[in-house]
Amino acid sequence: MYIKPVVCMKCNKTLATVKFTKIISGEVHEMHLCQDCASQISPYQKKMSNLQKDLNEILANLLKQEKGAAAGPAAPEETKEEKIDLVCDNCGFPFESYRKSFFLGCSNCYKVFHKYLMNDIRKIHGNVQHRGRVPQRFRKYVELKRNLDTLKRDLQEAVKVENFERAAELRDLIRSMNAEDSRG
Amino acid sequence: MREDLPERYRQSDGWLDEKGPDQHVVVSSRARLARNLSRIPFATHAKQQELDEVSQIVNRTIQNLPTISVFHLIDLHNVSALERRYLKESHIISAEMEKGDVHRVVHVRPDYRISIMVNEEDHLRIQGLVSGFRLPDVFQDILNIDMELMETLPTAFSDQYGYLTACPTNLGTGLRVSVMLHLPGLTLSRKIEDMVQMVQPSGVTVRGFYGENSEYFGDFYQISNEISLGKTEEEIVDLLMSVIRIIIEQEEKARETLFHDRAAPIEDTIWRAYGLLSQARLMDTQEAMKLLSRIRLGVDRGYFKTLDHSRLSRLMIEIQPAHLEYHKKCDPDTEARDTSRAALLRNIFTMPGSTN
Repeated sequence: MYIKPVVCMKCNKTLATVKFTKIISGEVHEMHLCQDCASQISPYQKKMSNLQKDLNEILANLLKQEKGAAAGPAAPEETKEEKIDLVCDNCGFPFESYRKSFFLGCSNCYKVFHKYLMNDIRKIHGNVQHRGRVPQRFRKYVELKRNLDTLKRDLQEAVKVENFERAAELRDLIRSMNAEDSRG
Repeated sequence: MREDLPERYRQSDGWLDEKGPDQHVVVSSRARLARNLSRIPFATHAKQQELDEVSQIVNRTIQNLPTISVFHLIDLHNVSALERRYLKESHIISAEMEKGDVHRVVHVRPDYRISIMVNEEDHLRIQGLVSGFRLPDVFQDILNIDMELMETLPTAFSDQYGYLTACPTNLGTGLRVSVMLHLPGLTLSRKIEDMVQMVQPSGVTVRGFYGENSEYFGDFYQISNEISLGKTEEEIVDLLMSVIRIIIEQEEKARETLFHDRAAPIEDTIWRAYGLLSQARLMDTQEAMKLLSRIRLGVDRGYFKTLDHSRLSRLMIEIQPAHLEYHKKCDPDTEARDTSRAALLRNIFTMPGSTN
C-alpha cells in the first residue's frame, strides 16, 4: 500500500505522521499532523510521542550493537584484497596468518578479528549464531541473552504492527533485563 | 629394530567385536567434540611451554574425575613411531597426532572406545567410536565426558560462535559425527557419484577410509556433518541419522538389483576374492581391503559362515602394517609385511567350514 506523503497541516514544515479525526457538530474533520503538533493538541498523542522516541532510541542502539558487537575498528564492506594489519592483543597472532592457514591464534582472536571473520564464518556454516549446548559457567548469561534476543525481536514486531502498549511493556522488560545483565 | 607394545594394546580393537545395528552397511559410528581453554593459544599456534601448560592442566583435572582418571595416558612424543602408527590404524589418534610432536598426549578409556587427544589442533578432542549404526549412543558417551571435564576447565566459548576452535570450520557445537559405510552395491552399480551428489546439499561430507584427504578404497566411505554452528547437537545427529538411513536403503536396493540382474559376475567377484585370500602368498594392504570388501558382501548373502561383519571389521584393522608388525612380530619391510598379511588371511580363509 502506498501512502502519499502529506505535510503537517499545522506547522507546514514536517511530514505528517498522525491522522487526527475530529467530529465537530456532526461533521468529520480530518487533520494530518506531525508528531510534535499532534502532541500539543492531545495528551494521548503526547504519551505516544514519548514512547516513539524511546523506541527509536532502543532500536537504534540495538542496530548499533549488532553491527559492532565486538571490539575492533569498523570494517569496510569488501575486505578481501586489502592488507589488514591487525594483531591479537592476547597471543600476538596476525590476521594475515589466518588468511594463509585458516587457523586462528587463540580464543581472543575471535573478538579482535570479529569484523573480518564474520563473512567467512557465514560462508562456512550458513549462519553466525550458536544454538547448541552452553558450558555450565556461561549458562545463566546465555539464557538471559537468548531471552533478551527474543524480546528484542518481539519489540521490533510490536513496533511494526503499531501495538505500542505491548511495545512499552517489552521496552520496560528489556530495560530491566539489561540492568540485570550489567550487574551480573 | 622392533619394539614391543605394552600389553594394554591387545584390547585396542575390542570395540570392533561388539555387534551393532545395520552392520551390513554401517561399519562404525564416531563422534568428536572440539574444545579449547580460554586465552591460551590454540595448539597450532602455541609455544612449547604453553602446550605443556595445557597438557598439565588437563592431567590435573582428569586426576580429580573418578570416571576419567582410569583412562590410560599415552605421551605420543615418548612412544615409538610403531606405537603411534598402531594407534592411528585403530582410529584412536589422528594423522596429526601420529607425528608425535612434543606435548601431544592421548587419554584412552581402557576399552578404547573413548579417547581424549590433547594438543591436536584444538587443546582437546574428545572422541568416541562404536561398531554399527549407533550415533546417538556414541554422542551421549562423549557428551558425558565433556560435561565432567568442562565443569572445571576454563572453556573458550562465546555466546555468538559457541565453542571457539582453532579452525572456524569447527565452531559452534564443536561436534563432528561420522559413520564408516561399506557401499559395494552402490559402487559396483556405479551409483556412488549420484549418491554423493544427492546427499551433499543436505550438509554432509563424503570422504575415504582414513578421513580427510584420503581416497575411497575397498568401497568404504566416511560420511560426516559439514556444519557445526547454528544447529543444536541433536539436530546435527538427527541430520546424519536421516541421511544415513536413506543411504542404507539405497545400498540395500542396489545389492538386490545386482544379485538379481548380474548374479553371475557378482558371485564370481566374491568367490575370486575368496580364492586369492585363501591362496595368495603376498598381499598388500590395498588389495586385501578390496578383497575383504567383496567377502563382506558375501557374508551379507549368507556365505562364509565362520565369519561375520564384526570379525571382518576387526580383520580390516589387523591387516594394517603396524598391527602386523606388532601382533605378528613381522619385520618392518614391505615384503615381510605382505607375506605376513597373506599368511594371516590364508589361515582364516582355509579354516574348516569357512566356505559353507
